[in-house]
Amino acid sequence: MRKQKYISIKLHSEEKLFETLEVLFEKNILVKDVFSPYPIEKVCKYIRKTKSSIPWMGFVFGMIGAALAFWLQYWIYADAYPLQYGGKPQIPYPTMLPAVFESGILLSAFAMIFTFLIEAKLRPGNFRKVFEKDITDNCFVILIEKNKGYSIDEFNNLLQTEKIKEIIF
Amino acid sequence: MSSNLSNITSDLLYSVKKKPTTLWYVGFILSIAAFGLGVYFTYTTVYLGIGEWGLDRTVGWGYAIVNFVWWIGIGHAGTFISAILLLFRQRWRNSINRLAETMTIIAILCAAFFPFIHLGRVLHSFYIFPYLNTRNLWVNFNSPLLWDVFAITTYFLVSLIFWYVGMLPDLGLLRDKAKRKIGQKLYGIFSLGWMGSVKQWSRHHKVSLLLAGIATPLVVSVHSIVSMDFATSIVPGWHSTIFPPYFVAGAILSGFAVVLTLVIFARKSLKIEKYITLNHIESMNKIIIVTGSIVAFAYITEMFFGFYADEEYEHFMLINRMTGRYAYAYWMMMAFNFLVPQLFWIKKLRRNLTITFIFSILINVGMWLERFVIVVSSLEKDFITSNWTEYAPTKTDIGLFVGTLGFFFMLFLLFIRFIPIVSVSEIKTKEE
Repeated sequence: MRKQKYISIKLHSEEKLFETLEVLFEKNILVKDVFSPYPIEKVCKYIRKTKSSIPWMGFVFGMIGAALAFWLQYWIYADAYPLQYGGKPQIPYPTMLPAVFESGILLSAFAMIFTFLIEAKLRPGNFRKVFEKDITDNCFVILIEKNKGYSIDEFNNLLQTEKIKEIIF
Repeated sequence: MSSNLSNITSDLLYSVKKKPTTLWYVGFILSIAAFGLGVYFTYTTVYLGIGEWGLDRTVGWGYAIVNFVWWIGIGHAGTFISAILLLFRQRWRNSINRLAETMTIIAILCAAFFPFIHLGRVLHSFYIFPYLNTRNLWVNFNSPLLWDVFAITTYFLVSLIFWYVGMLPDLGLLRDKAKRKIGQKLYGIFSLGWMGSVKQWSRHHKVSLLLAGIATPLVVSVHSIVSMDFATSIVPGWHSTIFPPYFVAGAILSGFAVVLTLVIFARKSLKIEKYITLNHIESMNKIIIVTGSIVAFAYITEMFFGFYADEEYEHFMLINRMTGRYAYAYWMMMAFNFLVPQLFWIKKLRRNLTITFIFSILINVGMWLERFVIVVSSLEKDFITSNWTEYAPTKTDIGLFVGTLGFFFMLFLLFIRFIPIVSVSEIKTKEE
């Protein structure tokens, strides 16, 4: 996140955040991102949404996990170590269920967490420079791309005329 | 509003920023001492074998399985609070979910220790997992003990993921608030570069909900499978179809009791009464009433089944439990798990911290005794009278149990030194 590419607007309350977003939305100024110390669902409507693959990855890998556990047990019972005892069925399907269920859940959880980390650009050793330390504590930041047909001064004036006092460049 | 958010941060980071209190040091030293005792008895068990335990001809499962089931049960409240209450949109869970999840993780580690050490040859413990081997020998997928391996491993890993994902925003906050370089570095590594962008929050919300969705059947499946360790046998007192729901309700009851014990201690010592209020305690006490009533119903059903079945072994087992050598354990269990939760119908008691603290400890004792009654009274007197024995735990049995208690409190106290015990971002969401 290099400084020269973005303008950041720092605000100190959720109300001011929405007021500013509304102004930017009306003026057709594209908001790149919004940072907040807690989740705010309504912000999503001002930002271009991207689809998440987390549910699908969870489902697909859940199925793969369950299938692998089923296949492993089937192979063990039928091929690797077939046992005949007490007239019991050689492949006891009901007793396969717990391992199938648990393996499905486990792989699904791992797939979802890795997809989440990739999509949210989170990884160990990710020391991205925090441009405003308070964003995880008590302030809200709107990020706008520069050079989108307006100068900083024009942009400043635009927001000043809207009487939003808490803007910090 | 900005100052309101800052106040929440400074209130909840109190335990992380300030020097530990004397109470913390006393607790930590005591827990290290207890843990040390456990390490010593672990060493004697590994070196001399499980002959050091009080196991005998009929009681092949003694303290180890009692402690295992007790700890696993305690581990259930964490995921119940995080997952099931999240899906039901119970906002009051925000103040206690971090504490309950932490408790779950440590409790599962304590539980896993007992089957591990019970294996005797602990270096060969990897035999319990199915892996390709030249001898072409495989684990027995028909056995509930193997299902336990799958269930508990999955439960531990999913709970760990859930706990860690929930902590990411607060780890980012700690990174930005840390004054010392080492703190900035370590919190920086663990926060994975959390910034609180819209995309991160929306993905965080999505993954939390989905993990809650898949963790919910896990809560039910794990203790159902643990109950099948008993229910699929032919031992009177174990061979019962009510065991899975009975064990799940009992697990949530004991888990909530431990959460209450820890919450009452934490809110006072960390000065967070504003965030964990009497209403939270009352809500948890209401869950204690529900789960306590299910457990009470299971006790009555078990009694009814035993007497209604025209089966002399079942009759004997019940009468032996009520009047035999361990009758005291049976009646204490009835008093603590059956009667004590029912007292919470009285609102004054539900909102009284001292009473709640005492009751939570009584329920914990009661739940431990329940597992003791189930295991020992059913095994001690088996089908052949010449086999009958009198089970008594040895100092190694007791030492190992005390060791896990020490391990639990040691990790818990360490945790509250480095991570806020109440989720800061979730409290901010709630406040706004």
